[in-house]
Amino acid sequence: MTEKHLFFSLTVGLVVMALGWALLYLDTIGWGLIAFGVAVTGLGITSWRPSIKSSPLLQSASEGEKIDRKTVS
Amino acid sequence: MQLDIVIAFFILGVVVRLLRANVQFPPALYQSLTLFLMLAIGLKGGIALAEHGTWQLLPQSFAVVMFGLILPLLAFPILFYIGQLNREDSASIAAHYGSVSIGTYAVAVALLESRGIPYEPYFPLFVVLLEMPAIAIGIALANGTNKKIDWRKLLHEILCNQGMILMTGALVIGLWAGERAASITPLFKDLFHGALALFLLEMGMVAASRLAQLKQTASFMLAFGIAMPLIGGFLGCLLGIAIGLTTGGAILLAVLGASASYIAVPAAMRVAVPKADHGLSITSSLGITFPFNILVGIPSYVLFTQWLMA
Repeated sequence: MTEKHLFFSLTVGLVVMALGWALLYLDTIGWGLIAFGVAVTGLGITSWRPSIKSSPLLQSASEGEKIDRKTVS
Repeated sequence: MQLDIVIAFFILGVVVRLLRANVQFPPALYQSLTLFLMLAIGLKGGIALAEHGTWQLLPQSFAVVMFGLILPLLAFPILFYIGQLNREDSASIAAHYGSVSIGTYAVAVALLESRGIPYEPYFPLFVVLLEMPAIAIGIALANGTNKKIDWRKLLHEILCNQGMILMTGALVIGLWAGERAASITPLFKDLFHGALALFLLEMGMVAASRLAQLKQTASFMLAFGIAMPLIGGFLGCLLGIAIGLTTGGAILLAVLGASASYIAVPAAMRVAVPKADHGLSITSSLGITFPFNILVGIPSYVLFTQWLMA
């Protein structure tokens, strides 16, 4: 899962929750939208793993691992 | 808002599958119910068309076809650029979301009838019209990499798939027969809601079992499968109001815009875009968008349209 996916999931989740909240003024079905919004946001956050390119820490760790493997071999 | 009785059967289907209960729905019965619903919707539309058909339908039909062309063009960039799916998958899924789901339409009709909200009785004509344009756009979008298409086979799939041929056929029969169709309406009209309940029981089981197949794209597909019906529903509602439909008609156009095909388009896309992951398209339309529309979407479109037209 990329940063684009995370951003999209968060945006959709928050918009759906906001729509649900607005719809609550008309009917209780708004809770349904809020539930779907929470599911989208929650799944987006839990399935996100920082990619190596986006994280300097992971990038250096990955390079370190490559160097270690070279040394071992 | 009170839960419609047919939707309760859909939830029962989901519960049955989640509990892994040993409930088997015969495939032949599911096929029979699908055929029944298509014939019933087409016939009802044809009879209504015989009574209310006017030239005013032509500009409305044109607007509906244009709507069917625009929807996949909105879905494609989201899938291709944000979702980072390949071109074939993006085009195939976009075609699914540009077309319509007969099951979702049937639920919306049942909901409007149970609440006494009037709608244009010839609406099945628009359902038939919205089936095709998205397939053409989907093929055009996928064509960038896949140019070897068996057009003869593809045209056969588009024009002769069971949804298209049965609904158009029943529409023509209803239009031709008019009031004479009264002799067969007890079967197609009175049993409609009962058959729909059985159909939704099976769909609930299918939707619940499909969700597990999403794998690593699950979070993006879940977000897309909920965002796209909201976009389509909103545009459908606005278009319905713009072309002068009644409140019920605008709600139905919102539902058609929000729904994603799982019968006609998959068959056509298998022929036109064989490299696409067809499991992903059908899982998204059947496992995410269909349940979303049934449980939350349709009642929300009803409320939103009524609020907008009040």
